[in-house]
Amino acid sequence: MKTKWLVLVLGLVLLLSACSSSKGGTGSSSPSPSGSAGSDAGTSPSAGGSAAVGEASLVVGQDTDASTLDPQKQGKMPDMNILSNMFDTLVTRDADNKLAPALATEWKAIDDHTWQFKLRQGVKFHDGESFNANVVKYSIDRLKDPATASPIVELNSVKEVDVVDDYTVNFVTNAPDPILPNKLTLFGGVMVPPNYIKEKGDEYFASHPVGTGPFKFVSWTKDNKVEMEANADYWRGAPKIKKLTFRIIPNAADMVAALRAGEVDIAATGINADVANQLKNDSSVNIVTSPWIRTFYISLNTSEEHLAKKEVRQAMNYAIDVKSIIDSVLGGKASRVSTLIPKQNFGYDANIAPYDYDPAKAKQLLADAGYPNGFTISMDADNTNASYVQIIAAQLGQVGIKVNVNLMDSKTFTANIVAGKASPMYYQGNTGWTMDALSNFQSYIKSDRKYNRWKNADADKLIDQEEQSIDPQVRQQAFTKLQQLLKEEAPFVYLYQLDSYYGMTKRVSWTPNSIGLLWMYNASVN
Amino acid sequence: MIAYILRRLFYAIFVLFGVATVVFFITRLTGDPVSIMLPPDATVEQEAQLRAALGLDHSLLEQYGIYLKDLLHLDLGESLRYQQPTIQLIGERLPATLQLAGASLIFSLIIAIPAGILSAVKRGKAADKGIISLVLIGQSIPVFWMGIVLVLLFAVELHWLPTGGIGGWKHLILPAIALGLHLMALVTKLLRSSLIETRGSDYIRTARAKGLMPGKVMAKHALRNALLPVITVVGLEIGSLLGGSVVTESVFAWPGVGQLLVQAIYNRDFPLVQGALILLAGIFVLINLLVDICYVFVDPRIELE
Repeated sequence: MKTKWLVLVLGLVLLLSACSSSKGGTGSSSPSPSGSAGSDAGTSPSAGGSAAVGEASLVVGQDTDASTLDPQKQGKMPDMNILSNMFDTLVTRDADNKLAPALATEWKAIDDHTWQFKLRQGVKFHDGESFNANVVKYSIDRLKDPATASPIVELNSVKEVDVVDDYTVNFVTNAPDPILPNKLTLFGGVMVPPNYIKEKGDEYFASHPVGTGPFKFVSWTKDNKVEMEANADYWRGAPKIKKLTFRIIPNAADMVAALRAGEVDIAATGINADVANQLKNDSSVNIVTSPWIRTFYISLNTSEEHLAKKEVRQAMNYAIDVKSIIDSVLGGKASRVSTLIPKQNFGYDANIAPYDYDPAKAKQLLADAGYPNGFTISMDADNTNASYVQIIAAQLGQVGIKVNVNLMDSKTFTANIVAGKASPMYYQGNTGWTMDALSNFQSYIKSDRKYNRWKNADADKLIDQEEQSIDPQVRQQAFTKLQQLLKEEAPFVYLYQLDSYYGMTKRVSWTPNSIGLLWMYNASVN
Repeated sequence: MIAYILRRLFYAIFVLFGVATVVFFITRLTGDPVSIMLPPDATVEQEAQLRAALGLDHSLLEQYGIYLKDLLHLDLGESLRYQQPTIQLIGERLPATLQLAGASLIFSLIIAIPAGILSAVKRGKAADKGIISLVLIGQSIPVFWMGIVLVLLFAVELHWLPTGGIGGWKHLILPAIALGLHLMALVTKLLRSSLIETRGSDYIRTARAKGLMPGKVMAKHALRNALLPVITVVGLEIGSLLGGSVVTESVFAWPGVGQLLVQAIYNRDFPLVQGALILLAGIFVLINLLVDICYVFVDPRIELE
């Protein structure tokens, strides 16, 4: 009796919802995919409308949608992940993380204030427009035009772009910029089509992007999915994937479900050590980890009474058993760092050893500083990092430092730091995507910088050296000295750099990169 | 009747003004949006520039004045994150939310009304006891938990339905069930008790004594009267369905107004939060008005003066 009812009711609901969805304007600019699905009610194993349909289609899941598809009006990785598949940058990175040619074929600093780039010939935008020196000039001019209100800040150093000939440009900088080519590997390095934008306007471009990249834009339903198709005329050669979709799934549990159901081929968010453990026995899913450049540390406010003493800061570094945290909580998928610089970045010096775990020494240093019985202090953290922070707090507790942990949502956490309202200690990660230590240091170390909480004249001088010289040797020396100084003075508690986690269905083959960019040109499916 | 509607609309404006004011000041308590819109290495000048561009360099009261003035011109401002008119962004998402709320409503009524009648007719019997137990479960299960269980069962294990997102009609089923469950339980219980009360009244006995068929007594006399409180509750609950969609949309990655609102709150996108809440409040007020007007047609004893 009851089952009859259920069948009847479900049938009716299906019927009604089918009617409503055929009318339903969802704000999508795409044709509704529901039309053909209507006939195979409940019989098809791949029920997801956007699920892998053809063999060469790939669905990538991430938690945040692009805020715009205009590459010059965004400055965050989720946006860049999507856009990097439709647009090219001047410079890129190879599998070994070295700078590699993209739309620029070679580059060199011709003097302290000028970088010259030779450009690739024969590249066309998806609408047929040719790529040349004028495109580069237009792109950078547009980026820097206040009317564009671009959130991309790393090209502040660029004064102007001079066209030398059709395929050569000079980037003239206000001050020496040793890492300009690095900066052109992501956001600021994206090239946009001048004629298309002039003709169609900014607003149209932001919803119907045209680039030179491996995939062409098809459709975008905000906070749902972005669909792209292969660009058969791509200058590197057509991609193996014919149809690329980015699905937006904010909720981590949902992401795992979508992966297990085969609706998403690559889950780029929502996977961590815990989830990886749960999925260990799932035969349909591979968990792939990859070295990443995100380093974690605890920032110490050295103007706070206790933290003003170097011994206390050193004691904290000795008191935390980073190796056991890596092995037990992070599943071994992380590596110890001695300061703020990840191993892959320029400037890293392998000769500088991290602090050892030595709680006895920590207690001794605390006693030397005048706190034989420890003290109480507070620490802020993003609530997604709760489990790590609590272990750290417990370990500090064992040497007598009682840490009150304030957990908060990530946006409040960041806003407090920016506003200078953060606690004396906060747990933070830093991704220097230029892969140069300059980025790891720039906002923190020099006295006049935004997040500085430690003033040191020597450090200021060293920062000037590495930021203003374009000689790699001079810069490396400055970085080495900075790292020695940072270790000795301990204005941070140095922890680890995490590996990134991806969940993938078995049919996918794709190698992640150190920056964590979801560039799918090299992906393929069986 | 017309005078009544006009008077109610007049009150509605006051309600919306109150909502607009509260929302304005509450969003301002959550912190500075500029700090999370720019990357960490932005300079102080760039921050100042952006703050000025967004109108956040005025004093709070000035900002409030500008906001109210714009509101009078039906201008809900431009989203900070998307740099598009708020009204356009909400307009893009509203159909998805209405579709979900509508499907939930239909789903819950289709089950609740027969279940309520059956339960009242078979009062004290096994069917009644079974239904009442299910109602209790339906009322006590949180939406997000039910959502996750449904996804695990029907999408991950059985592969019958998609896990989330919007697409064809299949995408609608699980979120509609999860969202509609509470309303379904509520209506079943309410209709049951209302019917039991009505069936005990004198006019039902009279109708039976006249020799009317039991089915006719039920449909024409008992049910029509018993439905009155149900209509009130369903009307008011439509607002909750729209509000409840905030959770359901998050669980099912459903790109409607609820998800837009949650993201907007995270991103401190003040104009978008304000716009979405004023709109939801407006819908709520409108539905209440429609419920009151519906009474006139359902219950001839009521006249709206």
